[in-house]
Amino acid sequence: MKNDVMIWLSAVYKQYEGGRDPAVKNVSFSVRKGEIVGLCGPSGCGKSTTLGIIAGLVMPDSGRLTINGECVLQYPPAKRDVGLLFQRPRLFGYMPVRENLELPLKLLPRKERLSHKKRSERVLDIAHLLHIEELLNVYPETLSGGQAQRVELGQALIRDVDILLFDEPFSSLDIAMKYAMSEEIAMLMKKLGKTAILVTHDPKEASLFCDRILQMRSGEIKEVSDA
Amino acid sequence: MRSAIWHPSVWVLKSFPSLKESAIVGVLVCLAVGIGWQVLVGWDFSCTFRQHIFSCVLDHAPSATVQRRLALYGSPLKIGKVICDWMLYENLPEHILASMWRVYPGIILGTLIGFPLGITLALFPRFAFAVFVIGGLLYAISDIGMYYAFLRWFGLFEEPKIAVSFWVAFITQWMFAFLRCVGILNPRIPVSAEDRALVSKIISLGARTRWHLVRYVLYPLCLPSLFLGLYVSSTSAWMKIIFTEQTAARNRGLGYLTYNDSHGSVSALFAGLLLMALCSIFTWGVIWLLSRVVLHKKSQQ
Repeated sequence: MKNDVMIWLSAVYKQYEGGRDPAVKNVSFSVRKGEIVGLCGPSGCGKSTTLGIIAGLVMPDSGRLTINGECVLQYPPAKRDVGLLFQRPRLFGYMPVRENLELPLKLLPRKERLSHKKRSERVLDIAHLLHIEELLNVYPETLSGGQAQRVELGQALIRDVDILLFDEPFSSLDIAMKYAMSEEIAMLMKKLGKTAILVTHDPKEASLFCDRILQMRSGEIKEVSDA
Repeated sequence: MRSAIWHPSVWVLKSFPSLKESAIVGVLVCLAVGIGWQVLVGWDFSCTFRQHIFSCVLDHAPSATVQRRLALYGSPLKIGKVICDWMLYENLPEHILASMWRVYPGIILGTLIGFPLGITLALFPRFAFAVFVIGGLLYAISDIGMYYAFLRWFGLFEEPKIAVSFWVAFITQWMFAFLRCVGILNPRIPVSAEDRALVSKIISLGARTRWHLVRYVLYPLCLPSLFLGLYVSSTSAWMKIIFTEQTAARNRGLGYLTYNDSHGSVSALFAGLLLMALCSIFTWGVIWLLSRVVLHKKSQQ
């Protein structure tokens, strides 16, 4: 069972400089391989900070974090095998969708870098998987919110990471679109066998997307329930 | 009920003309100013009404004084005549090319060195304040003041004039690129959060080095600043070349031509200034075309 654990956080604590209360205090939880976990709670309860700590964008003051059995706190984000989707899609507006999708492959270390042909094939595979083939030559400014989220998911998937972190990725979509995309992406995660953490304050979205839901309040995990 | 089209904000947005409309309006305004100038000041015919107006303006001066004073204001036709004379007898294009040869290499060299230097210095936040202060001091030093130093260093040849253009472009591009990058990288500076979000995005996508940050975030986001810096520095360089060519030009250049020919004629002085302004506008056009090519992906959308 222990070998099955993909992400393990233990007693993680973080207080921002100038902040009155700690953003995250004594947070401990684990996520099994292939499991989708939801972090639910009101705004400012520490969900995004927890996600940032796992992604490597936020450094905790104390605590421990292992990914796939390896302590990764000192690792830079690039070495953590984690993909992150932000609340609002952050795409590079000066390059078309095709190059946006290809970008993570260009950032790989020299010895792992793929040839141009293989990169193009990979982009086409991902575009096919996410149904965005017709958008490949389009620039991000013309994309709708849902299309931009798909491209951002493609950027995370193209590196073939094992863990995907979703930071309220559907909050800018309308309700019908939000639930449709939640279900579709949850199915895709299951199909690809990815481990995922979804941050949201919508319990319905969490129940559609996740296997397990962690309720956060005031920087602490208060409740754990099955979806 | 009032239509929304009458709302001031809609009116302001709708009233911005296209480039073509702006050009037409600009030419018409220039024509109107030129004709007005010609009629009021330049036309050499006995007009009692004009004489009366200027004699009132000039404190009821006698007619001969009015004529003498009016000669100081030049006139569009006289300026045109001076330019035609320069074309016919002074080989004007050669002088224009000589001035361009002094302005363009300086701007290009200053941009090629100043812009990457600004981005590079912004990558070291610990030194940002010191760099900002040094840059501010250099920015505040008068280019004309530096010209005398350049004259001492390089002599009375082409180099000091090119060096002035270089200095103008170098300092402008350095400061523009540096401030833009610091605005993107430093969360304490209230610039666009959207731009700053791309920094965490590229890191989350696997950027490992500062080069990745420069290549995919800072450089593309700074490109508009580069063109803004080019507009500012080219105008400034053309302004400075008037001075440098008048003080130390040997036998070529618009400033030299103007200085040599304008001892007794205000029209020659105005003709020189007008040609330099046109050269500056021409440079703007070149920069605009260049920006269209470089930023074509955006503009073609």
